[in-house]
Amino acid sequence: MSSEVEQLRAEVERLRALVGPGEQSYADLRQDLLAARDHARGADAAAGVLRGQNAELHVALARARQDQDHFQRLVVGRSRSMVGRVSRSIRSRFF
Amino acid sequence: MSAPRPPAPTGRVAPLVSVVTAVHDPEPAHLRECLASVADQTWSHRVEHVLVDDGSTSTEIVELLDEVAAADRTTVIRRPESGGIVAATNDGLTAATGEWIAFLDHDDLLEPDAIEAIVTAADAAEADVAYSDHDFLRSDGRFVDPCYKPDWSPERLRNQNYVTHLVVARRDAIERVGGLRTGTDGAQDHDLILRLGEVSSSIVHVPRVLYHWRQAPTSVAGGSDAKPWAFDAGVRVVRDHCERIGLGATVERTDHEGVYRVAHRHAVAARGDSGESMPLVSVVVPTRGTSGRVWGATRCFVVEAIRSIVEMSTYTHLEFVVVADDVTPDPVLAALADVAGERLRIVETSGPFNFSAKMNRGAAEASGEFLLLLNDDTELVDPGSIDELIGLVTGPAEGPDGAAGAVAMAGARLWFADGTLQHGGHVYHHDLMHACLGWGGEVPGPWPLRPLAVARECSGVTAAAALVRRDVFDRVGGFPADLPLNYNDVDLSLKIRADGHRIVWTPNATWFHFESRTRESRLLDEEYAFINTRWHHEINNDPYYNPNLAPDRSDWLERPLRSGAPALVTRPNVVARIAQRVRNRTS
Repeated sequence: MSSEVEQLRAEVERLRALVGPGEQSYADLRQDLLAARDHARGADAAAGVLRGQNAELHVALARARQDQDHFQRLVVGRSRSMVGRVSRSIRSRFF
Repeated sequence: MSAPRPPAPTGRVAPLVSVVTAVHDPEPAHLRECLASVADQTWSHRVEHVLVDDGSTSTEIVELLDEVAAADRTTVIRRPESGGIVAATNDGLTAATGEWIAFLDHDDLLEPDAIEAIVTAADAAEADVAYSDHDFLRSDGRFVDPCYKPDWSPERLRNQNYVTHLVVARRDAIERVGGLRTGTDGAQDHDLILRLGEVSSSIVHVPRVLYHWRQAPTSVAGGSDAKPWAFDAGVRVVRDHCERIGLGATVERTDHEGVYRVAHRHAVAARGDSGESMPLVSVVVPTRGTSGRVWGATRCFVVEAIRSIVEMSTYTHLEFVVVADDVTPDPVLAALADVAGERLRIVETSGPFNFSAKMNRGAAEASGEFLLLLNDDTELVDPGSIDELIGLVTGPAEGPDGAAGAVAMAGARLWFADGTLQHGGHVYHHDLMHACLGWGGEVPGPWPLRPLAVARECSGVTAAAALVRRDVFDRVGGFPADLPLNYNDVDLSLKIRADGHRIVWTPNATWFHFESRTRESRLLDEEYAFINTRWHHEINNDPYYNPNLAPDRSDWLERPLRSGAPALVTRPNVVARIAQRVRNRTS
């Protein structure tokens, strides 16, 4: 029993050391909490800037892919028609 | 001379169209291309080109105009000295004989069927004015950056001249507004379209690129550095427009070129100044008193949402109607009473979560002239947000006899906790989406129209933070109880628009929205079925987006194969051929 009381007293002392007995310590802790929240908010915002840029880059990438796809189709289409013209020309001359 | 063309598809003879071009020392080659693009119109037999030489000093230009003056259906007017684009264009308007007037700058190009397409569309709709999409003609001869525009958007037009080119208007409409207004040089086109909007009950948008705007170093198309005074002139013409329509507002330039800040809040302030009571705004918030962690700290969402308004909002004539589930903890209710005091009204509800039913219940208990629909997981960012939203919904109905309707609902910009965009207005383009979800919260949005920097009409806005006129909310029946979780704001928005009103989203009112932190996020199939059945056409045809933009996206990405890429390869040759043809003809 006495050891339990001793333990509880020790815990109270430890907590007092952490928190401090006065209003000032409470206010300091509150300041620390608000500062930590502001830091977390700032870090979140910094990550958000990067996420936003990432989202915009995805759109730019989609646009580039789309244009690339279009050009590929264009080149393939033109190549096919050119090959067709050449082969028709050769066939008409030699066969 | 072109061969006779078939009559217009309407069955009547195609109307005569006058293309008016003020000329002042352009590059001769550019002017040749411009002339050729008019001469080669599919309706060339019904198109006259009225060229006004505004005191050009280049011998080559003077000679070129002498040559074309002899051509059929071309009129050249000489001004001995330069009087500016307004004076020159007005001379052209006086000389024009067409039923329709089109405006073309001296170095820009029209698509071969531009006049036919736009006049046919305008005629079919019995409209007074029509405008098309446009793109830019780069110095290397390539067409780039297509501007795919929304349908007629008066609020947006005040904040940004999104129309620019190509504009055609009936001559009598232009005469009604007195032509171009002296002193508006640099923003004369913005001024004209604003004034046409004031007198025209029907304005048609043709969603096709019919106009190619050359990016000359001296053109606004080349960047804002070319004509910085043009944007100052823009401020003046928007200010004059606001005065004409009785909209108390201040107008300023913004950091984004061509975007103006039209602050309506002065309309409300004027009401206060005149001794009239300020309108009461009821902030309707559903809640179950949930707490959660944001930015590393635990908060009770509804308490902080209301605290942020109480402590920050510059608009103070508010009541807070909190629709609280019966499970809401007593300490939360006590904290709310502590924060909001006598302005708090608690409405208790029970049963399964139904956002629509809760909001309708809250609205029924509210006594305000306006309802601020607000989610409990929000936090006010911009102190002037409520003023801004009230200003928007207290503006006048636009157009003659209010034909374009008044704004009945205004939505705010919402940010996630990390500052990225959660809501930039709704886009209903084969899906139901928030515009540019996840983009940077302060970015102006996709080039060239910068939709996130502009207060603009939308098909709908989220009810997470939106102000709605109470009378309109009641008339359309509020939220649909059949949609307990999702799309209830879509249904409300579409009902409000169907009732003849407009909805505006603004970047000048901002809240954080810690999305779905206070309830489980899930989508019910029957909810989509409901909205798709009731609004199938509307959710697949967003008038404030553009059919040339890719479906199922809300980031203004062009549709595949419509990205302007074909122009990169083929159109310079077409231009060269047209230019050669006109050279042959004129020689």
